[in-house]
Amino acid sequence: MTKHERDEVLANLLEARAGWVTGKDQPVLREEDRAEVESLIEVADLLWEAGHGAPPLESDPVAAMLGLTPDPRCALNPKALTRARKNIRLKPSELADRLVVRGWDVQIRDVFRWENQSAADIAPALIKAIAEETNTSVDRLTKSRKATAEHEEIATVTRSPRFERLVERWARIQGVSRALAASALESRMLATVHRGDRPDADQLMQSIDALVTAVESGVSRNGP
Amino acid sequence: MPLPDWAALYLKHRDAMHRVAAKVLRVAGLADQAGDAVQEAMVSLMVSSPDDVRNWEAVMVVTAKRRALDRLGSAAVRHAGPELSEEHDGAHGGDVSGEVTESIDRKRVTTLAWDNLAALDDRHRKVAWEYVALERPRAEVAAELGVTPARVSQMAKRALEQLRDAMSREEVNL
Repeated sequence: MTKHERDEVLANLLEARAGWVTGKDQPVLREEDRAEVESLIEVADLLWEAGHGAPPLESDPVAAMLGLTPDPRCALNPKALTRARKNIRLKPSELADRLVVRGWDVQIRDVFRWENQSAADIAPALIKAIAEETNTSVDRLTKSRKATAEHEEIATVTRSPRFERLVERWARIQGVSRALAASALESRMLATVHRGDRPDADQLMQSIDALVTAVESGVSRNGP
Repeated sequence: MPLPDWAALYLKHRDAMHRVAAKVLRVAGLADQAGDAVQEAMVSLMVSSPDDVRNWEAVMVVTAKRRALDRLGSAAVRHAGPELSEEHDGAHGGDVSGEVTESIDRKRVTTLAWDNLAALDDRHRKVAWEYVALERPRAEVAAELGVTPARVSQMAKRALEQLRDAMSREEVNL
């Protein structure tokens, strides 16, 4: 088999992997050619897997559902954090340790940064964990900022009574404040939009409704 | 021992979950449903939290894989829509050590392939990433590079050879 033929076989296999049928007959490969082509396809498969990891956080609906997308309207207030931590006589290192036990990748320098520099990038789910570890509420730890243009885009949905009811249900089954529940569900919708889908208001609502119902039915089946 | 926060766990392991789900669904051309399978995995874990977990990565990756397999099964019998049955929720039970070892090893090798992309020149890296990894049409990538589709195939082969050789030097047998 010539080098050109081997190149053609590889090209056809790569096209076939992507689902683009080439319609060409493959020449029969000799053993050494087969081993060569297979080793390259294996590398191609590894690259494919590397290219199919999780989407960016802001486009990941699951991350949004779990409160992992920072929400400018629910930002950690550095002064409130310092106050809450000192109120229960917790050192920054102890707060970091407690968060690590809960699964968060937090170091003492992160706590210093949140208190002294910037805390705008902290996700609502982490704020909830901080609030629980400092015996305070999310509302006391956060300061609300202006809604972004993106939030305005979905305002027709989020201002509806149906969305309000979904927020109440999500807050109840997740054991979070209403504000945090609204933030998670809104982020979930924005992630869908970021992903490139352009669902209308009704489709957005149905998708959120299905999610809330699925989690709710599981919780009621398994108990609180 | 209290449960860790689901959000924290997901943040740590979401990449592995998506990757395994996409790999399973790829055989049926359904890789774009990986996100749905991962969401179903998280919902099922949240509503039926496993006890006494020693390796959360294992639980989450195996649950994502099984949800993807559920989807494959659903596609095969032409049942549309997500299923939230608990048939495969027991990823934390039973012997899944083989699946877990395979998955973690695969993640290591995939990361190595990704790392070695940096050693390619810009044009070969673009072909490797856009055409091979993301499976963009060859003609599109060719047009962006100002070359023929056949040249893109040659470049892909060269890039894959370079990656294979680099990985062999790091003792990865392909």
